[in-house]
Amino acid sequence: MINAIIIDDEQHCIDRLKDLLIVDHSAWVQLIGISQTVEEGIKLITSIKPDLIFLDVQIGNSTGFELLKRLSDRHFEIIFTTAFENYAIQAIKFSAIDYLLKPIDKDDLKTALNKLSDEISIKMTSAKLDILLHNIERKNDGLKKIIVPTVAGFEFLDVQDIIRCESDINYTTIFLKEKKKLIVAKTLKEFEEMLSDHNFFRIHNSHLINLACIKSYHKGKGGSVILTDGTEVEVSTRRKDDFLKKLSKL
Amino acid sequence: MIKAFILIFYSIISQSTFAQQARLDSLLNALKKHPQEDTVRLNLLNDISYDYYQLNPLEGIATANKAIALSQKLNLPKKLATAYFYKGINLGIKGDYNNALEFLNRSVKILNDAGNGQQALKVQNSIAIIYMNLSDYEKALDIYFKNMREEERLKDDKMIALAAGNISILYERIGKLDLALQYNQKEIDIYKKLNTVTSLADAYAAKGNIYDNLNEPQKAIYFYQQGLQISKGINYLIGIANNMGNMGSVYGEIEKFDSAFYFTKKSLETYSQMGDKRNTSTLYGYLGDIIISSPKSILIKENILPEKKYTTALGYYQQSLTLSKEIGSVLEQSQAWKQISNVYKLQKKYEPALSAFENYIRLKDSVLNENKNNAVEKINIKYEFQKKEDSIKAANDKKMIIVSAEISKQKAIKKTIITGAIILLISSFAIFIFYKKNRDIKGQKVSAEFNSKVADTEMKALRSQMNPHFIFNSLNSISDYISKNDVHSADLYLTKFAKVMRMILENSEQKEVSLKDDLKALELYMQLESLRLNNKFDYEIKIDENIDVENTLVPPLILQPFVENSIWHGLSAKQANGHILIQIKKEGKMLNCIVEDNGIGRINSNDNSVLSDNKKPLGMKITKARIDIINKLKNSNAAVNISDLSEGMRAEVMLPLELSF
Repeated sequence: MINAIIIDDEQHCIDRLKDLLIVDHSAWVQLIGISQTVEEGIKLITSIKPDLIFLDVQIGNSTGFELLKRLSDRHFEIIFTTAFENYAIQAIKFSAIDYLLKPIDKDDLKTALNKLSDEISIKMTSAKLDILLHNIERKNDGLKKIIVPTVAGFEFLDVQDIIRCESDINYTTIFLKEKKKLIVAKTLKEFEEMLSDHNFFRIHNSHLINLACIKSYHKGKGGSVILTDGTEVEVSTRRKDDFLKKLSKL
Repeated sequence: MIKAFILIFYSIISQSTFAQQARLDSLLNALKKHPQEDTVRLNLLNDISYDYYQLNPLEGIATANKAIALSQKLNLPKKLATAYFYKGINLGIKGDYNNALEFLNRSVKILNDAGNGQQALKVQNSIAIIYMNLSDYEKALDIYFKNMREEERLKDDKMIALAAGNISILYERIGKLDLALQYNQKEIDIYKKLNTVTSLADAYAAKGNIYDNLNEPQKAIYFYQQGLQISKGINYLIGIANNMGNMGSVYGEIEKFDSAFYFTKKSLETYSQMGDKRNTSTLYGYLGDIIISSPKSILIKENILPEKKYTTALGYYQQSLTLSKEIGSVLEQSQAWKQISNVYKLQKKYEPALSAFENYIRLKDSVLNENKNNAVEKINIKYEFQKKEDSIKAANDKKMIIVSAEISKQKAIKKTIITGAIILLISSFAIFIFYKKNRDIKGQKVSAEFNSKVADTEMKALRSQMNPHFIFNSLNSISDYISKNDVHSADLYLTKFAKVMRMILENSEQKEVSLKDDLKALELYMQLESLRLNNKFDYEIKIDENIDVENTLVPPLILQPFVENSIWHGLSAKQANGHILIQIKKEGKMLNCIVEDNGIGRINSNDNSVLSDNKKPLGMKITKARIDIINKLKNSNAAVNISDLSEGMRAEVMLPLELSF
């Protein structure tokens, strides 16, 4: 049985989630508390120590991140609930924490809860939250961190250490500085979505590169780039123009 | 006054007269010990004959005769040639020029027949000297120059010097003193180089003579002294006599009579000893001149009675004349006659003076007559011409080489210039074309960029028109659902719709989305509509296997209006078993997206909006407009075709196949 709480400042959102949990998941998720402010939420968490928190990103004038910052004991799972806040979602994605978009869809909730029961990730939460808070604080510089799921568990990476990502069907190989590489069970498209705002560019169907790691560009049909680790990566003909445009903006 | 000069016939060895005498003595001894008539004796005879030529020409001739006889007896033509040569030079130094010529020519003939050209040249040189002494300058100069050319070819320095010296003397005689000096210097240079001292002494004497003729007595004396010093150093009698005689003559000219007497007499002594008639004759002439010119005091010192000085002088002149007649030297004779005439004049004996003067003129003319001089000039010209021709030829060859080099250089330059010009022309043309093309491209690019911007804006406008259109239609659906269902399920339905709308909004922000994303949105939309209509229809999406849905790009929501049209106008009116088939096919470079339904079709539809273009639903109108822009932007022939099926209708959207990678 999972003991869950909801922290959200909007009653109708609480009602909907409560409704969904009771109707579909009462067998294994028990809602043991609800809070509508950050202060109350902190008290609630420290007193009843829930297994799972449905945490709204925007709580009144504060945020869920603010709440998390003030918690020293983070032995719980988190599912963020949010309407449409791009930067927050980006940060949440980076930290590999799950989230639900409001109005919460019944199927999405089911998927999220299933994932929770599958994963052995509880002990990782604290670290994940560190990353999340780190990224939230460093909204605009490049020193972001990302958590990627690997075969063994999770890997914490500095975004700036990623030189390039190469797709391998449903996996992605990440090439890091100092010749390290990681195989991640995420598609390249997912990385593209996460990283394209962080100076990454998909130059090819199979390649996403860190533009900061380009050593030189060689002209050709599409051309190719040499990266700082010495590898040469082909640029797709169709991406050439966009790529050069992007380069000229650097 | 014409100076005395010595004949340099041919000197094989350079040594002092004493050494020569010593050698001669030993040769004579050897000859005595070798009475057998054989080659050894013959060689000895020849050597002795040669050694005599400077010491005693008469003995030399006698010895040469013996050598001739012996070599004829032994039938040795080469030895015979040598013997003839030595006899010739002995005759020459004796002054018997005609006979000398005879024997020298014999020698030349034999040598040439035997193919010994080099030796023949030496003999030829002696012949030339004889001609010169015979005042036949034409022949002499001819031979000298021929020899010199030949020697220069053979690079025989000694012989070149010899020829140069003789040429110098000859030029001096005919009054071409500059040329004389020039050849004399050539001679001196070679002798210095070869360290041939006797010859150098002779050459200095010759140089002194030339300066004397140039009326530079001091210089003349200087060079005579040089010659004398060298000659004394090696006891070279000829050199001593020659230089002293000449000094005597010059001192006489500058009226240093004591010195004049001293040197002239010394020289005369030496020449008489040597049996050199020609020079003895010349010096007798000098002595006469000095006596005539000298003041009383000097004459007394010389034991000559001043009142008898003319008679004494005349005596010497006549001795000179006698000797010169003996040796057949016209020059010497004419000189003697001139002096005799002068003495008679001074003695006021005018008749004999005139007669002597006539002799002088006659002989002088025979020496320096116009014809001869001309002939000399002619040869000179010939030589100079030939020399010039040679040098011109060489210069021409050089010139030709330079010219041809210059021509090829010019050609190369011309070629380079032409090539350069062509390259320049072509490259400037190419640059122009390139520039024009580039400019055109730039222009096109700019206008294309502008056009695409315009089109993008239009597109964006159209897409944003899609959103409210979709939202309103969705609101209709939701409203419809709510009216038919309970609040709770209506809420869930709304949540689903929110999700689809989010996706569609996200997609519509992009110019192009992946086919996968667009189809996903479309599928969600169809699921919702199906839910609303209580599963009155189902759907099927068929994608060609050769289409990579992730890599294929389509404009967002391009099919949605057709699907919507099928649902609202085709299927909603139908009771059950509605079916929507979506097919994506690759046709060449086009992507064919087909929406088919089995609804009531346009014919049976009460809704007229599907029938005519201007009454088409807004969504389809917008789609049509979007496709027109795509065609404009991508120069493609995208199109929308709506056709009727036996049951339902079909919408075909042909799009240019776009790949993201």
